Amino acid sequence: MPEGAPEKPDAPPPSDTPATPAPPQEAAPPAGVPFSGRVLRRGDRTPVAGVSVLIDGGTVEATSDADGRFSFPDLPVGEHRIQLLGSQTVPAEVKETLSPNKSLQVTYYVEILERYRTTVRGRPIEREAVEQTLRPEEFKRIPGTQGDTLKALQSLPGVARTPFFGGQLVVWGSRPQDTRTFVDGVFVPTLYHFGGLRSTVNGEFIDALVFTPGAYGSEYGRGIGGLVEIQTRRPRDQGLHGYVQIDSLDASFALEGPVSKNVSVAVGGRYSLIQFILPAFTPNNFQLTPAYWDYQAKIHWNASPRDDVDLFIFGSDDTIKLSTKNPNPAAQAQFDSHTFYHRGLVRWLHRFAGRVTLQVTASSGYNVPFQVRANIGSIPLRIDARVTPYVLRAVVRAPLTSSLRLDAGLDFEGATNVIDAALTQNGAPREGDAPGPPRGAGFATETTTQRPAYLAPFAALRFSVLDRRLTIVPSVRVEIFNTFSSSRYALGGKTGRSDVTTNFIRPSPRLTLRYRVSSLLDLKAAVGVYYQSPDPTAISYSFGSQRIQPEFSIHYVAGVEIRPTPTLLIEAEGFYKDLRNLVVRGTSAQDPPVINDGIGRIYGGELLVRQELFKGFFGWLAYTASRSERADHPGDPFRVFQYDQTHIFSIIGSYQFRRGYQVGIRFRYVTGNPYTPVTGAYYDINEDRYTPLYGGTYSSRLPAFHSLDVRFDKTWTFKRWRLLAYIDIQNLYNRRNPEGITYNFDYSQRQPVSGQPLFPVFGFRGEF
Amino acid sequence: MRRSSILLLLLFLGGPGCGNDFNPRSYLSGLRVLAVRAMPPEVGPGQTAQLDVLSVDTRGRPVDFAWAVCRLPPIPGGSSVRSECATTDTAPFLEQLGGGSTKAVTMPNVAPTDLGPPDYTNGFYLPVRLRAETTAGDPQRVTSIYRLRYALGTPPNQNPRIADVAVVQDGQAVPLVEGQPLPVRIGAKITLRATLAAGSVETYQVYSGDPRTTPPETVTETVSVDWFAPAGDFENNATGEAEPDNTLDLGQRPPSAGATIDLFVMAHDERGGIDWAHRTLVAQ
Repeated sequence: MPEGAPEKPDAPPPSDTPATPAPPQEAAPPAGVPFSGRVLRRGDRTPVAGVSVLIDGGTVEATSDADGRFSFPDLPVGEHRIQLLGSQTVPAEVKETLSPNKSLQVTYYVEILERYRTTVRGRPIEREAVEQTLRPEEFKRIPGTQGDTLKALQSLPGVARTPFFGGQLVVWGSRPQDTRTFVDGVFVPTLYHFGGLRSTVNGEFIDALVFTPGAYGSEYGRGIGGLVEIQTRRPRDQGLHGYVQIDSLDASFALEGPVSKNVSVAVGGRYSLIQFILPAFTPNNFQLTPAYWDYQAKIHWNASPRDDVDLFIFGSDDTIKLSTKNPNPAAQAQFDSHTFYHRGLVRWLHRFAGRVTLQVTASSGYNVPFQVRANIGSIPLRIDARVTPYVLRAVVRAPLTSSLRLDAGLDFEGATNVIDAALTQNGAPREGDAPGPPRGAGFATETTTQRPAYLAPFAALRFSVLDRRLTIVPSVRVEIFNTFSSSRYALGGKTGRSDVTTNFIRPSPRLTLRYRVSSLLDLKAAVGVYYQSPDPTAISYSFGSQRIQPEFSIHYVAGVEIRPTPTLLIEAEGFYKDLRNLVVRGTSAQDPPVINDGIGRIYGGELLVRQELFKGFFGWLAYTASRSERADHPGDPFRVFQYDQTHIFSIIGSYQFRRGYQVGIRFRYVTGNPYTPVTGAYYDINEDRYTPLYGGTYSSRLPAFHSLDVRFDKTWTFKRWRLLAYIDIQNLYNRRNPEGITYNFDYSQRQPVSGQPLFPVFGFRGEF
Repeated sequence: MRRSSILLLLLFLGGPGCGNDFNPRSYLSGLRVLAVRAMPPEVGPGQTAQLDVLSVDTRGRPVDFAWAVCRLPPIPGGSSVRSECATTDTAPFLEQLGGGSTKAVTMPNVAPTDLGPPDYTNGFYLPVRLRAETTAGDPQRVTSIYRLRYALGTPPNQNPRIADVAVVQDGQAVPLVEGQPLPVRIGAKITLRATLAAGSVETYQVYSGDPRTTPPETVTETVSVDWFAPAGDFENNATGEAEPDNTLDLGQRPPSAGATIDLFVMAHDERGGIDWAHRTLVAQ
């Protein structure tokens, strides 16, 4: 049987899904017998609509519906030639024999022309000035990311490369914590397992990733960097589907399908395997044990034609244990960290008359976003944060006229944070800090209870003028930061308590313009004001300041967008960001550990040439040139930011060959990260170690990074399932990219520290 | 915040000297200040401690010392000592005390918090800078800072004491005697043992739990023993009371025949208590 030919089912079709015969064309009684069936995609049994079923060369014809069903109420008895023709299917032909007084029901599995599938979804009218959307068919095949959802973002323009596991999002020169990630409108605290090994949200549940590096609209806030929106998809409502995947890092699965006419369910999970592999590569006196898992469960209820209700429960858990054995008790180190989050999310969408919609999302959960217990010799270090968040988001979208629309809503984020800490007063590491292990003046023990209640009403008016060529979106968001913090501390042998409530009200106006010069060319510009509450560790008596204020920034963006073909996009933008009130270290013994003295400026431009999936190929070329600078205190000269990278270039291409083969490459060239050089050292006799003396903050730079990643996929498609094998090789030519500097005991000698060597990941995936 | 934990982990992993080809810290070459010892190591305001230095120059050059007290308090969350204390030659915050290998230092009559924030042992400190500089041959200068602990009225810290340095042969510890070099074979691996005198490891109190509910906790000092020699490689740069043995491999960085090998052993706790011992070996 030729590839793509239809096959009969192994078992009779379900009796509760009979084909609905079409009404008879004539009043005369039928002379033949009914013939009906379904057309399903080979491999995963997805119904295929729009396939023409031709009988005997086209004398009779039917077309499969959205459920893949077709029917002929009255075909003559005998042998017939059946042809299946569709715009996205491999043509197929089979013979069927109809017997007297016996209906025939069949299922045909057809091959989809994946290589010619396109992902064009029409031009969205609500795009931000700068916004990129990645779909699963792309992010699952990007080399060097092992098919990971969020790691794929790091190949987009405006995103810097970060060292170590490369999991942080440094967008347009902003700190990682300045870019906020939302799942269906709800902020998630932990994007990656173990600092970037894997995303905590399974890509199988994702419909789209929408990435906005800056100047986004008023629906979101509390972040002075970029925005990542993860839009989850509805569970499939036809048949049971799922997958199982295993590779060198972890194993995962997902199952989904309908449980009733209006309810569909999906569940999934992942468990790491790396903890079983690592011990083979570590010495006996050094034990590093990372382990992680995550889960997702989603229920979609089509409650009425006007109402959809979704329940999404998801979470993530990471454990890291590190211990070193040394006869010197001061050199023995033990590091235990267990962090996790669990979230429940309910979303209700109601459609009113006149295309007015109301969407309400409520969410709560429990997080331990930061937890470390460590002993370095006799120095006990402990920080344990426990967060109970509660979120409510309501959005009304009301088309007022054909060219005027109002979007308005309320965005509330509250929490109870309890932070137990015993550590040096520098607390959490901050951008601009000198590198090296924790050391320092001031050791405190503190339990802080915080109750942040952040409310933000927002509204955006979208209207078009000049024959709808010019779209103007003025919007405003009022950030209300209310925080109660209560610190019980022990510092220098004395204990005390400090309760402080702060209130900050910050209006955040924003404006987006888009002018359609022609059907191929758009001009765009945007400006916006953004505020961000300091991280919880900064709101502390001993380790920060209970009166610390929100940081803020103003984003300016202007650019051009060209779409020469429906699937080819060329974008160029220039951007400028003005940062104020940044949280930095105090400068005198009278200052609290952190103050709002910092300012910053970020400017640059980027270019993206992107071919969406077309004829089996997708890829893009992205280039960003930028400079990100900070001045930590008034009068200080500007210095470069920790991850300032002048040039970020990446090129990605992936092509599907016939017979299930796919090859992808990614090449990256990035300016080396800045670092703070050591200019000397003195011997701290009490601590029995040399303390380095530093030059200007980030005044030296590592050599450039470049790397070639390659991914090979082979898919075997069977009747009811598919098997995928892949190898994803990072750093194919084993470039020794410097990621840092290491020094001898007195800092008189130095050597570069190389990053990830050639690193292959093998994997298998079965899906049905 | 989570990324910070990873960063912290990596910082622990990536401290100076991890996985490289550098000479180990225990290998002596050129001018080194190994320790400053205060007697007593903890004094109240107006009281005086006598400080002396243990230094070595493997090239035998004469060394001058310059002592100074630094009155610049550290910043909460910053380094234990302001970098200006180490880098500045003269300044109003520097009180020059003069030269010599010993020096009397008096704790000023100030409140402890005037000296800066406390460390994790609830200690407040007066930084004393010592600059050692060779006066002949190639110039070399080494800066060290010792922090003299301010007595708060709690039981004062005492210096640990090294009771014995011995060579372990066939399971028996044979004490090394100062001034009587032990002959050793070039290429041999020698097991050495440093023993602390009783009472060297003291206890003190810190807050370690939730201060609302947890009283101060009594913790035991960590006393480390550092080993130094101008030849050979030690198996460990430092040992402790529980595992006191260390191996000196004279096959690595071997001494020349007939050379005297100065062996320095230094014990220190985390509150500024220090002691040292010197023994010699002769290569054969």
